[in-house]
Amino acid sequence: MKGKVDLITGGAVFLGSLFYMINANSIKVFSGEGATSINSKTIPIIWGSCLMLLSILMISRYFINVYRNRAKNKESQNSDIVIEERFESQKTETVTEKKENYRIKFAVPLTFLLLIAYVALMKEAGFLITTSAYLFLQIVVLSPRGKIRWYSSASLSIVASIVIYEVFVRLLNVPLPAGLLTF
Amino acid sequence: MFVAGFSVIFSNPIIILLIFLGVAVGIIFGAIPGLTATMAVVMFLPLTYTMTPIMGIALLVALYIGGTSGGLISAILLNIPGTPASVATCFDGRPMALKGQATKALGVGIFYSFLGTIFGLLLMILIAPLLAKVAIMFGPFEYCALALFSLSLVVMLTGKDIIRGLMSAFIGMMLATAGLAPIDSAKRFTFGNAQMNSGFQLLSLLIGLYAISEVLNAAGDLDNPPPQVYSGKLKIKGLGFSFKEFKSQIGNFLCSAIIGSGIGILPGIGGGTAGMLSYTFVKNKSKYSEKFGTGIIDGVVASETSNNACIGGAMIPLLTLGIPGDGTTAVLLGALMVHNVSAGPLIFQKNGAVVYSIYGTILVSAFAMLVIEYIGMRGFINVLKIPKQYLLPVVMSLCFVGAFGSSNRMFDVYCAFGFGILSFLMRKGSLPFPPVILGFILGPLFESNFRRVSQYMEIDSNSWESHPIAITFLIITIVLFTFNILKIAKTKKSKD
Repeated sequence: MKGKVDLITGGAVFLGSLFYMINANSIKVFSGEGATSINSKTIPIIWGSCLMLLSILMISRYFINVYRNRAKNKESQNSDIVIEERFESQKTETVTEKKENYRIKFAVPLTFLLLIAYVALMKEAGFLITTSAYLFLQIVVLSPRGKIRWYSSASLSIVASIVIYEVFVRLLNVPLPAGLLTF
Repeated sequence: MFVAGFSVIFSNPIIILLIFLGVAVGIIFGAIPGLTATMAVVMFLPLTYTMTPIMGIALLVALYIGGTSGGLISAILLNIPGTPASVATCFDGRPMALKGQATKALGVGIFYSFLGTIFGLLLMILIAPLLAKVAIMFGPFEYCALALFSLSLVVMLTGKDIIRGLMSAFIGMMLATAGLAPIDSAKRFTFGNAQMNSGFQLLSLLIGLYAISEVLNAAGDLDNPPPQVYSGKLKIKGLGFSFKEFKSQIGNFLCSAIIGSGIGILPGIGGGTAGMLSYTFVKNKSKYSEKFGTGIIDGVVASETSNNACIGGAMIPLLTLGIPGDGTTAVLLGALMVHNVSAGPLIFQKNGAVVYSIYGTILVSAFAMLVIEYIGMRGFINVLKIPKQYLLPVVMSLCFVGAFGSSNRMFDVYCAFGFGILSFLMRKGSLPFPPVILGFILGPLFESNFRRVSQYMEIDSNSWESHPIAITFLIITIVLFTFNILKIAKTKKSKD
């Protein structure tokens, strides 16, 4: 997987630039008095083409490297044999350990989900509710193994959200979404 | 009038107090990712309505200076630049903090922010009219060439992998094309959404790329946490660095200050680009360029000197021509109008006292920044003692508030989240972030001026010939670009 970073990145960027170029082609160009050959479409098309070219270069680089490595491997094929041994510890896990392992294993997708929920619900549910909930859950997700402090996390979440809300809404006049708590 | 302007500031303790207050609040705004100096100035502008022009403008200028300098704190301690101007501070500031030299990095950053501000002020006092004339000489041709020159430096910013660096820069430039096109306001990539007409905000991009990616990183590193930055007792000796180190940075400081002031006087570029340009310039001319990015003071000196020198530079076209250099100076221009001070060539005749009081304010603000940040350093370092699981979610929340507060709309919060996803994917693909920021800032500058150039060329196809500055920039760009590509290729070959 690690060796395929160039291929995957190049492929993803190629698709992204293709999508960009298709949309760039649909830009309506001004053609009245004073219009020149360089219009609002030109620069996006140049940027898109350059990015597409770079992605193709990256993909090609991957294949060149694969070819080179294959040639190198052929040379050293019979030189030595590496025997990998894997020792898997047969350890019985408790229910709590299992939960902790899941939390740590899925910390990144969980953070993504929390951020999506936070951003999506902020307008409807309001800043105070969503921020308190987000802070609490995010603290839990980011806590190191066996170091979750439920009460301090909950109190920090509530206090921090109230302080941020009060400072920005009352002191700095930023109209943060009030949502369900309209006061 | 010069003496009168300065004496107004120094003889009035309330103004001095307001400046200290402004700088302190500005530092807080700059240090919290998501809140910027522009936001601080906008929020405090209504408060100045009831003040005298000198008092009101002094408070706003102090906020501007504090806000610009405060960005270095979060850049060094959290790897999240507090403001766009401090993006380049992360390059070496953060590695220094990871090596246990957070105090030194902060000390260097604060001191050179101060020196950078003073350098910009001296330029303002000594050669403001001359520099204003230079700024006027920059038309579409020159801007177009300057943008190309700055973009070519991306190659130097990217390090070893040119393809990845250029890819990042093009992603930034492409993101900047969303919204209404320059010149003819054609809708581009708006997908029928009216909110997209104004395009993406730099702040949302900054939050997405740096803050969200930092939270995602922390989540990904739960089983293998990085070494703790803060350990043991805090030791602060003098300014945080030795006299020998200071002496070794004189050349670096002068180059960065000149670049920062130079970029500052040119409207529309700003401190973010100044910091990155100085960093790349200093790195390129250094005898030990390979050490940049590993945590050496040279990188922090370059970035912090130039982004603060940019302040004085940006004030020159603002005061002498009435042209704001960046977002913050645009708000300051509005503030000057509110207080019945008309910026422009006649400002020295009509409102000389106000202009000189601004000089005095910058001087006092620079000292206030130095004092407040050095006193507060112990407190800033203590931020590192807060466990990441508590610190990062609160910072994240503040970032979203900042994104919302920049235009009071949820759309910017959604964008910040979208850019967070982009940062995650980019990190997976090992694509660097700084070129995205540079491309995002310089892309529109290049496009709008390139289109103006095309209009000039339509009338006279040889109009390039009468723009020696632009031609010089283009030649330097080609030479530097080729030189750097050859240098990288040579390094790669010798490694193979």
